[in-house]
Amino acid sequence: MPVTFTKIQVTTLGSAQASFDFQNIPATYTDLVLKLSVRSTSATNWANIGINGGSTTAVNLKHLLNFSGTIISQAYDYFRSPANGVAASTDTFSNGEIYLTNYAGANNKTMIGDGVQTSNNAGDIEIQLAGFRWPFTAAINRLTITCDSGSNWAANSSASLYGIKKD
Amino acid sequence: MTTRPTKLIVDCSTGIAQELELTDEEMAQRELDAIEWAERQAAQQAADNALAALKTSAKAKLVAGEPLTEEEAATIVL
Repeated sequence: MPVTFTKIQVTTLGSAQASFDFQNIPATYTDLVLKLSVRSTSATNWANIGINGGSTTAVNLKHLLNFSGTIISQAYDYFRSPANGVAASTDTFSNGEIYLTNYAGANNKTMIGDGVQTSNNAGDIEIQLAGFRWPFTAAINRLTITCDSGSNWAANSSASLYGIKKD
Repeated sequence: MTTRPTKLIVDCSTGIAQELELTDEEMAQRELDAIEWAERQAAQQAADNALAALKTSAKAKLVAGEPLTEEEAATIVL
């Protein structure tokens, strides 16, 4: 079963921006992969992701989270990935990946995400392993990535979108 | 005149990227996000402080040989 991993868009910010907004995502792939390397210009913990222009809370989330050394299992409604804020070491960026399965299909969409805030502080490393479900049947054609604290993404933050095609 | 924050829109069908100022609706959502974030941070800080106080109290009672409350015991029992 041949599998292709194709770059759709790779975007690195030259200046601070409120959001990344990938629009008109082609429906020609089987799955999507979103990779984030972000840092906020103020305090923050998460990169919130909106689907098709909708709310970032329209997604069921179940995740395991290492929160400053405490392992937490939670379920709530958010589509998100860890993000670095100004409290993280200077010029460091979080890294996260979300795999969107059958994003253009007619069923509810399921996604898996992993990510970590990066820090030189050994006691404050936050790691997320999450499963998500978007309870709608429309094809996903837009992803909007905003900062959960309502601030901007710093210059050099990047968001990359890839398409996976299974023949 | 205050400059509005901008967003980066990438059209994946053409590869064209453009920076646009946030709309009124997006500005309102951004302000709401900031308020909710501050409230969550305050709640988390309060919970962290309460847990730290319980642990401190539990430790002091253990050293002194005094009985712990159920809440205090829960901070040290797996």
